[in-house]
Amino acid sequence: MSSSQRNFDKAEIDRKVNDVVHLMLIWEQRKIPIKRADINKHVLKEYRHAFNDVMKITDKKLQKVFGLKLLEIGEGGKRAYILVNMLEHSETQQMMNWNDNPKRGLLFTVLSLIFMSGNSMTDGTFWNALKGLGIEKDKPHPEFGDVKKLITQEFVRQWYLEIVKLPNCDPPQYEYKWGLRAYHETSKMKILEFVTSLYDKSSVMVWKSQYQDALEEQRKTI
Amino acid sequence: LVSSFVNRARQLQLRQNYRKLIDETQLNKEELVKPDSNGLMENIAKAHQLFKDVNETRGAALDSKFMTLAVTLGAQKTNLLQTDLVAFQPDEFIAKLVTCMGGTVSEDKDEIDIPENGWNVLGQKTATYFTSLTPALHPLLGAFEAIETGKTNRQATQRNKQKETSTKVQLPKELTNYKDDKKEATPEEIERVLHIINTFYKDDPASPIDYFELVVNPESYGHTIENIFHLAFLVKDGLVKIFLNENGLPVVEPVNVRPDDISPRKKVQVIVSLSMDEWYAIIDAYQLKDSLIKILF
Repeated sequence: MSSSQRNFDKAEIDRKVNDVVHLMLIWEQRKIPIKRADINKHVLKEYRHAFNDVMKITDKKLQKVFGLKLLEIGEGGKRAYILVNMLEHSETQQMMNWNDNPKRGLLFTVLSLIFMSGNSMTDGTFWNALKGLGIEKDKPHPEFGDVKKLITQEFVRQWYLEIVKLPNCDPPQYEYKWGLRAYHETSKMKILEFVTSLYDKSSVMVWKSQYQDALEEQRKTI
Repeated sequence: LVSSFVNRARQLQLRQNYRKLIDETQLNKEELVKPDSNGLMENIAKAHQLFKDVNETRGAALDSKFMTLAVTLGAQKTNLLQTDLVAFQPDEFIAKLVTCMGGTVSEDKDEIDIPENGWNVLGQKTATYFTSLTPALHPLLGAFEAIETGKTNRQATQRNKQKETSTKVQLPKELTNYKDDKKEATPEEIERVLHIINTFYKDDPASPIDYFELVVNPESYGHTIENIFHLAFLVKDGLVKIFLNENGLPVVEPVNVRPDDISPRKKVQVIVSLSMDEWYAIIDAYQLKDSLIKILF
């Protein structure tokens, strides 16, 4: 790479930044975390050496214009970026007619089940519980279609869930846990608040162990 | 001799019963510590009965063993009672969710009926518990060029460069076109709609005009939507009011036609939507052949 190319053409960088902003907003449609390699391939190309600078400005623009923050999650080979809403949400968020409400309802149910059951559930217990909602692992669902695919593939690819194979189990058993993205889009305390209101209990503290767990998480993030 | 033999047999039986009681208690301890279970008290009563007949050390030792177990479980149970602790049961949680979605579960738990809108309702209710909900961009014409191959990108930038030099010439042209197109949304058009409404109302002062008869143009869906749009402005400015008549149908009436009507104006915000299917249905139901608001051009 010649030195003249390395003199970052500011106009070109700005163009790249705008393209990355667009890319991230469109990528958000699938909710799959975007990797550095994706950004380089689709937008930066010969400017990939300017990645860090571009991302810094991209983050600023996303925050200033859209109120969205760029967040890097994961480590090593599994590092990727997601968008997180910076704004304080109010009742308007509940009023808005989001397209994927049903999926979000299912996701929230799943995350709640897992957290309240001690942060992990075996696949047997998990699917058994969902039966009570009319969801059968291998039957097509009127609302969600292939629920098994939705939960074990889509939610996992979106980093909402993590499914781990348990060692030394025959027949194979799996453990369902929260994915990295889940920790950034909701919190254990929020789940507790929901469950508490659903059960019409007076305080989140009645869930003794889960409350301690949620408190621990709060302390870590602050 | 006989009585000592009988006694030994009796004591053996007692010890066996104790062991059985201890095993049972151990096995069911999860159930027994639950706040609403009486099992522990019942087992303690059973042990008490057994103890009445014990008269040797081995029996007494087993009784102690049982009591130690009972006391430990009792302590756990008390712990749960004191802090009003609720154990999380997935099935209970799921059942409450079903209710939350407006659904029902049959007696034998075999039939679970969740209404069509149920999951949507749950999604909306849980939206506030997400600390971050991000909207995604859905370009009207699909994903943009940057995702296509590099070739198109370079062509696009070349085209852009050419455009830049000729924009100055293009601008004035665009402006004049813009003015002409604006005709439909101008205050003039809205006034025209008002005039039509007033004319019709004068013809038949006692009855307000049916909303759908007024806005629907059976020959143009687009124009129907424009009429709804214009009417909305009239309502917003307080020149016209829309309300439901005794049949529950929306009707339109000019404001201040009745001199004795001094009722305070209530402002209510309503969103009206009309899909093409609904438009067809209304034309059919009302048997509309003509539109009350004629298209100008």
